[in-house]
Formats: sequence, structure tokens, C-alpha cells
Amino acid sequence: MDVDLFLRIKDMASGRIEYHKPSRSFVLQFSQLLCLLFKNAAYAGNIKDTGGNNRTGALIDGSGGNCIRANGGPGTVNKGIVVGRANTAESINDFVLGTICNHGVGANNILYGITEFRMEVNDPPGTMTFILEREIANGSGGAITLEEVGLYLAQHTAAVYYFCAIRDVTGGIVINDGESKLIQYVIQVTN
Amino acid sequence: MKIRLYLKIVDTKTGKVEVDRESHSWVIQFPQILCAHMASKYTDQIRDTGNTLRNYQTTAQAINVNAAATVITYGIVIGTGTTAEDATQYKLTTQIINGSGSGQAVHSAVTIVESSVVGTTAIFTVARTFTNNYATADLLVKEIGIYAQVSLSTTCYFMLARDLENITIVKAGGSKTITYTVTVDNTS
Repeated sequence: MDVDLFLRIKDMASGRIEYHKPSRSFVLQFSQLLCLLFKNAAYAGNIKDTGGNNRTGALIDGSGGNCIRANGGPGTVNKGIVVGRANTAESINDFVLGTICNHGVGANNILYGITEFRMEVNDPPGTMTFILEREIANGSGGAITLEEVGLYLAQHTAAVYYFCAIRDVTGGIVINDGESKLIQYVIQVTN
Repeated sequence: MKIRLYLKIVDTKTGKVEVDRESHSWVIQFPQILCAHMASKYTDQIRDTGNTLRNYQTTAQAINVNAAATVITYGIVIGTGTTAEDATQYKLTTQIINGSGSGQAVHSAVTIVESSVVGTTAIFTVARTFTNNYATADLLVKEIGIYAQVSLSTTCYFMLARDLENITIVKAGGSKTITYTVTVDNTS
């Protein structure tokens, strides 16, 4: 069974899929967080958060949280699918988007919806597909060129830290004022 | 880009690498649990190793495979079943239990080596050693799996991967170390 990851971007008005490629880039933090979940004990190494701080130790502390939550709510830019304007090449060591678009209606701001989750069975046949998706809109008054997409995960225990798990450079995707796009990370399981 | 899993088996006494290949089979519970954790919810039920469908709950903190010695409910586990690999499987066909009797193996504690970067790939490993202390017969292993412990309304166990592989652990103290390597990479 293969577990593949794709990135898909759809224009909300036309329904046209503007980008659909295998995601290039899980980054180191995803491996570390998955390892942490498997280990269920203090992590000895450093896991770099989106602020560039090295986090270590008892990231799982028994308080009932987990460390890979992607369920960012409306307006939240530290968790869930996020977009940015930097086109620096992807690296396994990326820990943050180059230039994240903040939430809002100012210049180069994006309006973020909720990061949602759904599942499709047998579409295409022989697959099970898990989709993390988020609608974004541009109310800034001018066009914004998106160059990068990422997935930020939150570790919820006694403290909350945020980690970049995926970063993809998409090439320039223009979102004009008043337009909206649906960004999807698609985890496709093929038997 | 894939989440890949590799299987390596080494004879503990001789150091000989007997198997070193990509694992054939994540099973469906792995992406289900992974996605449930990321979404912090899951609408479908997930089948545990006892064939009971479980509802995901936000109390699920870990996907714990870090089993102590003698524990066979989670960690790397072995068996004698030969049923073909399939992504819908939820348990080994015939699991080998811990012990020193006929058809048994002494299960060591699982060891996990934390993530590192090799080129454009991030990897971590999960390993466990199995010893055949039975004096008069070799132990024939046919299947290998990874079981995880997850805390839901009760403590549940889920199979994440299963591979068919023929290995012989020789009688009177023979042992093998089985290592699964989980990789994610930075290439399309």
C-alpha cells in the first residue's frame, strides 16, 4: 500500500483546478513529530518550531493533547494550511514559510477559512483519500501572487508550539482581489 | 512524495543482513490514525487488532509503538501466518507470543532512533530483537507487523503495517533484530 501526498489548488468561482501535483516536501519536523508519536516519550533531539526555536523534552506530557493538530480555525495562521509569497527552493530543513500571508484585508493579507478534513473512498477506484482543505480569499484590494503553501501543525500539551510539516513552492498563482481559492493537501492511500 | 517504510532483518550473532527492502504494506489503520490526529477528529471508525471498530477521540495522544520487553500487544510483532498482505488487514494472522517455550520468542524492548536527515530524506527507525530460547527447535517466522497502542475511551491497539517474510531463528539462543525505517523525503 502506498501513502502519497498531493497538493491541489482550485479556483472557487470557476471550479477549475489550477494546480495538482505530488507534494514535494514533507520537512524534517514531520518525521520528528511522527517519531515522537511513535515513541510516546520525551524527545531527546531538537524540533524546530515555526519561530525558529528548538523544542525538546516532554512534548507529550500526558495532558491529553497530541502534537500534530492541523485543525486551524478561521483566521488562524499558526495551524493548518497556510500560504506565502516566497519562492525559495524547498529543503528538508525548512521550518517556516519564507513569507507567510497574514490573515486580514491589508496589503498582501489573505482571509483564511477553517482548515477542514474529509475522506473520499474509491475516488479514484482502488483508493482511499484523506483531504485537508482550506478556503482562502483575497480582500486586500490588490492582486496577491502566491508562491508557497505549507501545513503547520500544533502540539497541544501544557504549552502550545507550532511546527511546519510540509512546504511546497507552487510557482506564481495569482489571486485577484475578491477571488478565493481552495487549497487541498490530499493523502491518497492506494491498495 | 511518499511516506515510505523499509524493513531490515539482521542476525544478531553474526551481524549478517538477511533482509533489506521496502516494506510491502502499510495497512489502512496507519493513515486513518494519522489523519485523525491531524484533523483532531475522525468520522469513520478504525478497526483494532481485536476486530472492534473504534471511534477516534481527542484523548488519542500518541501512536505508541515503544513497547517494553515481553509486551506483544504493541511494538514490532511477529507471527507464523502466511495470508497474503493486504491493506485492509488489522492483525497478524497467527501471532507468536512472548516466552521461551516451543513456538515462542523472547521479545526485547523496542528501541527508537530519533529522526535525522540523510541527503533530502528524513528518517527514523523502530527496532526490536527476538530470541528463540527453546532448546530443541528452530522458530520459523512468516509475518512481521507493527502494532500501536492508542488511548481512546479505553486503551486500544492497532496494526499499522504487515509484511510477509520467512526468517528462521535458530534454537537455543538464536536471535534476530528487526528494524523498520520510516522515511519522508523532499523530492516529488
